[in-house]
Amino acid sequence: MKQAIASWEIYSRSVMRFILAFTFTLHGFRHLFGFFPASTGRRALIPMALDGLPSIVGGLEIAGGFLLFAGLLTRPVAIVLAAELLAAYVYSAMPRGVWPIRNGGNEVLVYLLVFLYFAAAGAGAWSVDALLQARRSHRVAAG
Amino acid sequence: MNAPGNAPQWTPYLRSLLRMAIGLLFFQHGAEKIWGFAGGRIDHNFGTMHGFAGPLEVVGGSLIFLGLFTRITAFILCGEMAVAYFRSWAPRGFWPINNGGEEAVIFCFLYLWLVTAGPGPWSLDHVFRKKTERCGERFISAGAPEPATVKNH
Repeated sequence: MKQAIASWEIYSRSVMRFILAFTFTLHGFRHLFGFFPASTGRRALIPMALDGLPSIVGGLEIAGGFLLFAGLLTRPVAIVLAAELLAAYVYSAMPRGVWPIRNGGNEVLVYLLVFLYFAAAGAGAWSVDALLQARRSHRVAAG
Repeated sequence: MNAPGNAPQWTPYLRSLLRMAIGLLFFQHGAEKIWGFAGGRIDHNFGTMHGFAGPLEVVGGSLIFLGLFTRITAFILCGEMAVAYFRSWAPRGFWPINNGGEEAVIFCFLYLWLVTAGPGPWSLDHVFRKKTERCGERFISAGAPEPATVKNH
């Protein structure tokens, strides 16, 4: 049973990657084009730390988010985005307070850690990286 | 350095670190509901969905941090986050970035992954497991055509 569940890890990692890349890309659209103005939502209306960065990083978020969604060049992309998220935490969340739940940096920390894990573990089974690798190993096997 | 399919040997340890950090971040939400951590709104109506989330998050966050009963705990918390999203955030708007439920979405799918990934080597689950089972914990790297076995120890 446990072995069966554990063997789904490569698929659930991909599902997690789809969702996180999607919600992350929305921040890029907010940055660049001003979509999704932060009008409703959270009780105390703490602005999310990611939105405190200059709007030019929106391009990085959209491009990186789409690459991450597709699972193409996952490792380098995840490292670049993790660096951006670290900058967001240091630059806009930390001055607001100590605790991530109050300084708006909770999401940023979760994204940061998960992207670091993607950088180490790769994109999972449902990704362009996996397709390319399967093709490459197929070619090697065929000689 | 690594080809896309080959995860480095220390990846399971990184998974354990990720799990501990997630547990701590999640613990905050329960601590705010029960003890008013960091100036949060206290809710002791344990009969309501919002109040019941407090103990669930305190106990669940601690268990995830310690790595005890990780898969079952992650499964329960995954369900809790799904309920939280659809009950309290989804009515406020369609997009997660706008309705305040972004964190709930992230946590939901993170826990879904944790159910399958397991706690990793730095966990109480791992300590309590029999030594014979400990060797050769399977870690399947991304996109490998067939399951590759990587020894953790």
